[in-house]
Amino acid sequence: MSMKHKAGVLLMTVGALLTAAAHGNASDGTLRIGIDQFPTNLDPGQNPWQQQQAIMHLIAGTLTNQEPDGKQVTMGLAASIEPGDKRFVVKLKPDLKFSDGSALTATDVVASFNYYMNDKTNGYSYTFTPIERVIATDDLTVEFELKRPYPSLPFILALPSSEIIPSESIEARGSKDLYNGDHPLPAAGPFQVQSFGQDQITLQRNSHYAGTQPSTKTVIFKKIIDPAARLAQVQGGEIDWADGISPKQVGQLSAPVEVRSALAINGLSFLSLNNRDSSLLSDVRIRKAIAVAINRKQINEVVHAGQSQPALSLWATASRYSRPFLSADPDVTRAKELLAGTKCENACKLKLITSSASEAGGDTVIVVQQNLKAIGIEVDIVKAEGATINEWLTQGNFDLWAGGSFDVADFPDGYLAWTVGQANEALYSGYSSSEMNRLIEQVNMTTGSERDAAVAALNALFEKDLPLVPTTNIVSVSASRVPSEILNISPTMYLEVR
Amino acid sequence: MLVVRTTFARALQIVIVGLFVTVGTNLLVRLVPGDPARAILGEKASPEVVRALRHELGLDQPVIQQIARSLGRLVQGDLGTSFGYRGQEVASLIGPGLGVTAGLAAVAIALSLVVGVPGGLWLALVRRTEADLIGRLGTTVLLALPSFMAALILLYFVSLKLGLAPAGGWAGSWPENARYVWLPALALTTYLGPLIARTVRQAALDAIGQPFVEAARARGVPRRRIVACHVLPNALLPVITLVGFNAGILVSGAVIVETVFAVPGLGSRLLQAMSTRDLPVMQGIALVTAVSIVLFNLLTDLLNIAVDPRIRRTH
Repeated sequence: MSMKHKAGVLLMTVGALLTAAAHGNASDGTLRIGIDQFPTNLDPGQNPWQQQQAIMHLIAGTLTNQEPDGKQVTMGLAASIEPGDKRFVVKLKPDLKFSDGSALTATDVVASFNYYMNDKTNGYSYTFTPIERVIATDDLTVEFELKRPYPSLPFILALPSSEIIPSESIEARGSKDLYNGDHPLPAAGPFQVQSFGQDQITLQRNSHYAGTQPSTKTVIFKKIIDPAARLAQVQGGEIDWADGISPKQVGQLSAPVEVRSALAINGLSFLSLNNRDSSLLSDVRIRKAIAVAINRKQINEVVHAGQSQPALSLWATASRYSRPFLSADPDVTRAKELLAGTKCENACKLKLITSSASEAGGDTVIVVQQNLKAIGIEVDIVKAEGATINEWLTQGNFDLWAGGSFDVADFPDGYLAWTVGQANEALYSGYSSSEMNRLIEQVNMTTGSERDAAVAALNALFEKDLPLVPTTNIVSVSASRVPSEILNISPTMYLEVR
Repeated sequence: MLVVRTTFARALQIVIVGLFVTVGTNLLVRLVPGDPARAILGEKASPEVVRALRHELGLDQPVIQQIARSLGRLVQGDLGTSFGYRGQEVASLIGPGLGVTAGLAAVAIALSLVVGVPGGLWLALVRRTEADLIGRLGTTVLLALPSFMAALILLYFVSLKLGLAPAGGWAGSWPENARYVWLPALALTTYLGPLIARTVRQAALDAIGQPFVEAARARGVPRRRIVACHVLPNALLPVITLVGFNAGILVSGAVIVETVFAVPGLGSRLLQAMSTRDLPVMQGIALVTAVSIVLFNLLTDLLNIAVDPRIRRTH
């Protein structure tokens, strides 16, 4: 063989290698999703971030299922739930099975909840606090005995952190090995874990799933940290869905890639204000002036490319509890009136911290800096990566923080605790009000008109104290090359795979 | 004897580097703010839960005790277990990433040599012509281009516009990886390739001016033979050292390029470990990288001893 011949063969071989791509795509029942935050193990109690929960949601078999609108739940593994003041009776569907074909009974439900309630390192422990004990009265019946009324329990039962896992596995494995990614537990959700890696997680359709079988056979999650790289890969056809792209990049999308966005049903982006005595913002008049001076329309346009909505109350715009009292436009005159007689009347300086990894946070603080300059407040922007920001927040080493909080459904318990309640001293703001705590308790324990009245009082108190300043609704923007009927993002911020 | 002495010196270096990296990363990570337990559990977890996890991870023990424990494990060849990937050995977590980064770096080095050596030699042969001027200008521009910028430019034009390569990813096995590796490797080549070309050009020019080349020319040895037998071997000697001592820069460049092309190498491991303050993994990656660079330097020394008789003679 001549040299030219050999070179030709070599080139052809390399060419064949380069083009022989192992492509997956929606048409063969495989979805490839690019995300930046992977679970580090399969413990739903230790994977609290949105994208981690989105993956857990597809695996977890839960007693109830969250409806995509985030407003209600339907029956999951449960056939019925009989709510009571301090006792919920759950009847399981008959012949339930885990993905390995083993039977799922009331014993598994009890073992799962006992495990969660006793796990001291479970990040969702607050969801189990109102539960006294869980008992099985027969193979298909479970009773939740409660310490206090817990009307949100059906929503809690739909969370991935309430997934039902086999009692045998709990007994056989120690707590450290229970959620080992190398040996995934049998699941009862629509998908099961086929492989769990640091850069790729593959889920396989669970043929024993009790609900409607998804048409998608395989879901491959790929870790792609850089949003621009995710966008490039969805545009190039390497993946079908690029999760969490920058709204400003939407204009770069070209067919067949389309934008998919959803506003969170429960939660907001806001400026968390340091209410402690050490900060100028302990003065409610300055807090209110900031709330009035903020241009929420501008933040929506600049930060979210108009994909979000201005936040005008403590709650997300679509929440049933929302009672708007803020304005989308700034009112500089009113803000200056509010500053009269305060330490910021003539001028003052505030420290605004934000995560360097958050593009939205970075853009928000620029707008806020401009907005507050108009009322004589100078803002020092300090950026740091997430873990450092958390430390500063815990220490109260800030005046303002461009952050946010959300929950997957329109139930108040967790959201109120994190924003205006005592948990974490109200998202690090240091805000503490016995009246607010009393109202939160009232909201959490009541239903119907009683709850409505409690929410109205709570909203009024929030408007009066204003421990934090809502800016915009939380929006998730993704790019997709598959129809929304197959894969979409919902207001719960879960990925809906069908 | 020289080989043994060099190997021993580098082995000693590995021990010292290991000690410094272990103590240094332990102290540095504790100096910067950020709680691993909070990073794992998220902002909504209660302080009690965070405290419980800190206890489980051993983070509530005195720093000195934690460092001593790390060193004790290291002596036994144990890099510890990850905070985030509960119960998983650090070695098993970073091993695959190390393989990927090593593969990427190897392809980048090979590409750099393939482009840089003939390129540099050619520039030497056409010295002081317009082609030489343009070539040197080109190498200067490429050297000034940060690797992430080169990666983004290649991603946009080669992948998205021309569709010649995937926009990122990794197949997970060879030879399928070839489809994914060449573009990120090319991005890394934009630094090392021009550097090699410039070095080879200069070394070749030095060799061309040497008496033995003049003598060969006077003897009527063909030009091609002079270049192949007298100029090239001398021009290649500094390349070995150059590649060896640029390993560190190549690895740090790989971290950025891996992020742009979503290559699951040490870069993505390091980024995740840093964001979650996964100290054992951060420490493991720092240690493995440092030791790899020392080993690479050892290989460079040994290669130089093998190919350059002058070094053997002076020792």
